Amino acid sequence: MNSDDPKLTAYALGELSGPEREVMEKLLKEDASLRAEAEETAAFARMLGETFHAEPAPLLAPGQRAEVLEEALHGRKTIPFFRRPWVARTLAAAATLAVLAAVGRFALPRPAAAPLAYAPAPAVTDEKADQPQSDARIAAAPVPANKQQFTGGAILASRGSLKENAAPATPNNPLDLDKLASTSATLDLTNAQAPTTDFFRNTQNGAPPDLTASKPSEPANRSNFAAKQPAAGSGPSATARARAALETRETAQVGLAGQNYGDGIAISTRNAQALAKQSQNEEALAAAEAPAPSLTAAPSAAAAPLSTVSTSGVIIEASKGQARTPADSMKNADASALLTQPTFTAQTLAAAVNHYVALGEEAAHQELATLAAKASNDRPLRDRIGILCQVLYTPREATALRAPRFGNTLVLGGAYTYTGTTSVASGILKAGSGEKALAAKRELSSKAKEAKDAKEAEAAEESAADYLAYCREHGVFRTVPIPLPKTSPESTEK
Amino acid sequence: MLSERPSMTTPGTLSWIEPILERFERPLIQYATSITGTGDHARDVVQDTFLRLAQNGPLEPGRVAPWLFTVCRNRAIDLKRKENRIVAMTEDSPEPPSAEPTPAARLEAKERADCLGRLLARLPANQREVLRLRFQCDLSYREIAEITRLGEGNVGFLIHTGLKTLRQLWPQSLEVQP
Repeated sequence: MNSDDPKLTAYALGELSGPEREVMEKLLKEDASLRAEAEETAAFARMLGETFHAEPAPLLAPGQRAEVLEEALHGRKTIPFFRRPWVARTLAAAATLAVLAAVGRFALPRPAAAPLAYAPAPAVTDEKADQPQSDARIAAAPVPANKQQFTGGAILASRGSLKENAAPATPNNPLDLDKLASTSATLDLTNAQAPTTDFFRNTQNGAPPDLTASKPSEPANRSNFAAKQPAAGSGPSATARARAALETRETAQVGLAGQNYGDGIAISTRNAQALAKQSQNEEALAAAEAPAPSLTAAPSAAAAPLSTVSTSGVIIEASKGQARTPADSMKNADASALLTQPTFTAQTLAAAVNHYVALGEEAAHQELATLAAKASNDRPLRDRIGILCQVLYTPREATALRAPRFGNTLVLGGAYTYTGTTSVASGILKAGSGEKALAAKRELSSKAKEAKDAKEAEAAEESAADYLAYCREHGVFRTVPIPLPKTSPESTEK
Repeated sequence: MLSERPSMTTPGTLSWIEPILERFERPLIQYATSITGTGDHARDVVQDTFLRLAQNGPLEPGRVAPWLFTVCRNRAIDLKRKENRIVAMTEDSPEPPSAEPTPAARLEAKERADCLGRLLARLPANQREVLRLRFQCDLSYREIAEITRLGEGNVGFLIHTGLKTLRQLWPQSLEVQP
């Protein structure tokens, strides 16, 4: 044996055992150079190991870790891709269509060739343009007229076997928004002219929300994301549709078919359904498919807040009042991560919210008050209590709860984005037309005067306890837990 | 080699997976980072790996490490292949603070790490991978063979060759005395 033998390296690394090891040890006893080589190899290997181990490596985020633990604890099963019901149905339908097409091709006489006649591409259409407070119904992709008469989706829908591929999009088809939501697109509303308000702006300038807001999806634009454009010929882009809807001052909430989106996206309940379908999250789907109160019928912001916290395109809250929250949401309810860790995610925020929801208003208030008392010298704790309060309390009236006056802005950047319950819904409800809009304007004037009167008082910083008391006085404590979000894109089966 | 004490515990409690997380989280992320090139992607891959383990349930003794690294490797390679279609969310989390006790030791460790990185780049990919699995993830030849689907003898040869090359190229100033 010479020093360039892999077995010598294996021995130095402790890989030999039994007779091989005994033979090698005997050889080393007899050959000092081999022994020296083995010792040098072992020493170099130790150093190499130490150097490798010293390589910096980030650990899993607390939310990622929590998700793994929850999976292990509750044994939640992810349905393999090809076993998911809709996939199975789609494949079955596709196979059926293929067979039908093959049979038709050979068994039926071919019709004479005719020029294709396409229906005019519908512009952005609002079916309730003359009705105030209607949510935007945006016409989806133009569909060739000849295809509207014969589509696999229509046939299958009539047989009740493929709901997802139901009727083609038309202006009156309520599935339009679903279709829109499932369209991956780069959303760019930053240049839109509509007045804007959202959680960020409210928190940044400390002012009450702009009740004329009509662009609740703006938080999406704060995300540094991009996605593939819709396939060619699939109709106007989501951006174009959203822009057009904004011009009519309707609610343009464009759900983004989500993956690889790190930040939250404000979405409507219909979008929630579409996203839930896409994510195949059965719990989210169940929540999203519950009967949703119509925006147009909502008497106040508090009755039907639309706020949604979402990460990676997965809904964690569809809409208060309609969401049937899965019981799993409460299983990991724990506020410790949010209140003690240096960073936090949508999951830890949701877990903390659910913790206090589980406690109930009185106990939650006591616990938060105790924490708030400790937060006088702990700014991060104070800020997180402020954030918690804004999620835990929804406004009693149409007027949104104000942001905390902590003398700074609650920047919720990083791994998550939060769109608050306060400004969005009220903005939507007030951003209609006609009398409602005028009423909103009058209310704004009144509020502006009140705001001016209270300006001096507002200048002073408040404590977490003060803000907690304010929220309790002017808000309604949340009773519906938030479904825990996922942070990673849906995994695909290999 | 890696100890696998949690595999005899039962599902339905966290006790079976927590030690696995503690033991394998860092080496898996290091290994995945070597494939994906970014820590964020590596964390996603490792989270997915652990989620699959959680769905799968406890494994037999001796199976945990090969299973985890095999799944992690497949997922990381899969992600790497799809990299062109993935939009990077460039929000790298802050690196954990170094545990080195003194500035001198930290400097030396950094020099070694830099040197190792440079030298590894000169090795063939298969040698780099088996060296990482052996010295960073503390896996045995048999486990590495299972993960990489190479023969055990082939793994031994690759490690021997890579180690020899590194020793030849390693600067004397960073040499470690036996």
